[in-house]
Amino acid sequence: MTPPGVWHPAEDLLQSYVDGGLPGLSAGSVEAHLLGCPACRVRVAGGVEPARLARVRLQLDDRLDEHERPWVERLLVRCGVDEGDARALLAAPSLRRAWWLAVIAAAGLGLLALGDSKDPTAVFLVLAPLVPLATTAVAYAPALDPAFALVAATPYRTMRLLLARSLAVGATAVVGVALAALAVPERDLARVVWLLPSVALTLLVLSLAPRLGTATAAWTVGAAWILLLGSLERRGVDVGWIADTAAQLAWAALSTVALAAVTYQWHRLETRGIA
Amino acid sequence: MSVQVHGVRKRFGRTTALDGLSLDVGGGVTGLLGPNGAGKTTLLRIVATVLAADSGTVSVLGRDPGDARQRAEIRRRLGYLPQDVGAYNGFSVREFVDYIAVLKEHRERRARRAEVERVLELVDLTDQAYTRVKSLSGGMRRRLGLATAYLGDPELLVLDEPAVGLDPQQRLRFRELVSNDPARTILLSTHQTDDVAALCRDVIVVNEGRVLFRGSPAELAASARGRVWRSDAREPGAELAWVAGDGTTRMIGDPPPGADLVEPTVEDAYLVLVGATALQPVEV
Repeated sequence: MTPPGVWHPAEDLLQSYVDGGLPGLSAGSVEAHLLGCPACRVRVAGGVEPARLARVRLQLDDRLDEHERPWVERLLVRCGVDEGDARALLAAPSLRRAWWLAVIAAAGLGLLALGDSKDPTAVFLVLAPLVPLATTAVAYAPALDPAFALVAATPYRTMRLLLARSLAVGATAVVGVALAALAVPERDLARVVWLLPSVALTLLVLSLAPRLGTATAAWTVGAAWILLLGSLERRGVDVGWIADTAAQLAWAALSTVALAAVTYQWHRLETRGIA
Repeated sequence: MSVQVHGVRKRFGRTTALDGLSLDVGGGVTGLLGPNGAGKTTLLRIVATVLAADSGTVSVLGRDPGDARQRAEIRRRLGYLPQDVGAYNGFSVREFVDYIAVLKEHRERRARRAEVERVLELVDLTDQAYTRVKSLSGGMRRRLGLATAYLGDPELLVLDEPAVGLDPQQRLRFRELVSNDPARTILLSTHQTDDVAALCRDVIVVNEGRVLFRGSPAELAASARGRVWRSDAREPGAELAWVAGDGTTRMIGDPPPGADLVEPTVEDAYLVLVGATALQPVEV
């Protein structure tokens, strides 16, 4: 019995609501009433067709799922990247760590180039190739992915995952360093000549990682780079030699060899060995 | 046979983890028992296809894990719980299981959601579905790993110490889950001899990378007959001795004449094998 002065939807109105036949405004008003009226909720309970309820629930879950997915993942999927690839690429915290490292290192490099050191260009040329190298190593290292053992036992191709992460982070680092290069005060060439050494050193780390471990490979290649520059400087060779055509060709050749080595390692691990 | 391992060797630097180990695992639950460093985890990682053996042959579900295509087929039919379940702290329980489901090729979103809900229900984590992984206790993390292992209803489950960190109630639930599953092959490692006695059709005792024993839990217990006795105090010939709850001293070793022999348990037999003959492994 409805108490005097309190409005409750009539039976036929409720039935129309349950059948989904009410126009938006009326349905909204009945729904608002139902939210605050346990008695009317009891009246409609069980009246909705189970199949319709299940359909609504699925649609609701779909909407919730859509909102739960990070915007970067949604963007990648819209750009045609497979959902599994997008999820695998973005999930690991090591990737986010590497991305942050890339951004911070590139910003630091920009500040160094702007700073009042004796030769900011030289400092930039020494350090720039190390940024993609370090960040790629962080993204590539299985040890930095806490879920790696679980992931490795899935049919998803592990090497593909690691390389995709490395490339994503490497590309970010290269863009970051390129922006930082704009701060280099002199020698326009310095703004681009770091690129080939960066690519060569990074690929060298990736090619050595399966044999040495990612961290050791990164430290070894990084140290070799510093030692090479140090020894040349002691012989009076300015760091600007990196910009020479011969040096650039040498870096391009080393990049090609390292890329071939990475491809071979990848193929070997995917076909015969186990990551 | 679901798993066939023959003459497998694996070294890590100077340490030999598996030393020509051979075993076959068929349907039902098989328990791997052994002390720390015995080679259990290395063996399970090889069976789970996340590690390659240095030498020897391995066949999992009739396929060769050394071949990329066959390895992928094994992984589609395999569930693996590693010893350390690493998960991403920023994820919710549901998000993380969903992530592993994506990698396990559950591509259709609605079916994947239903599967994630099913496995969370299976390990009693439905109420924690939206809890962040970083807030989970050790036992809950273990159950999270177990949920990912059960994704896709795999034919073969490889579980590395699945009961570690579970409270008694959860342990019973785990036993119920595993024992009501006779059609599946489950290979699990454990330190808990009572789990082996309660769950396993077969038990394999491993030490120093070799198999010391292979048989049923009853056969394992029976293998120690005549080696376990009790007395008021430790006696000569006892290799291991401890005071039991009733105040008597329970001993394992070579009993003196007229000793009060007792019926050995699985734990006694395990201690006889590992405690006394670990340095003289027996090929099975």
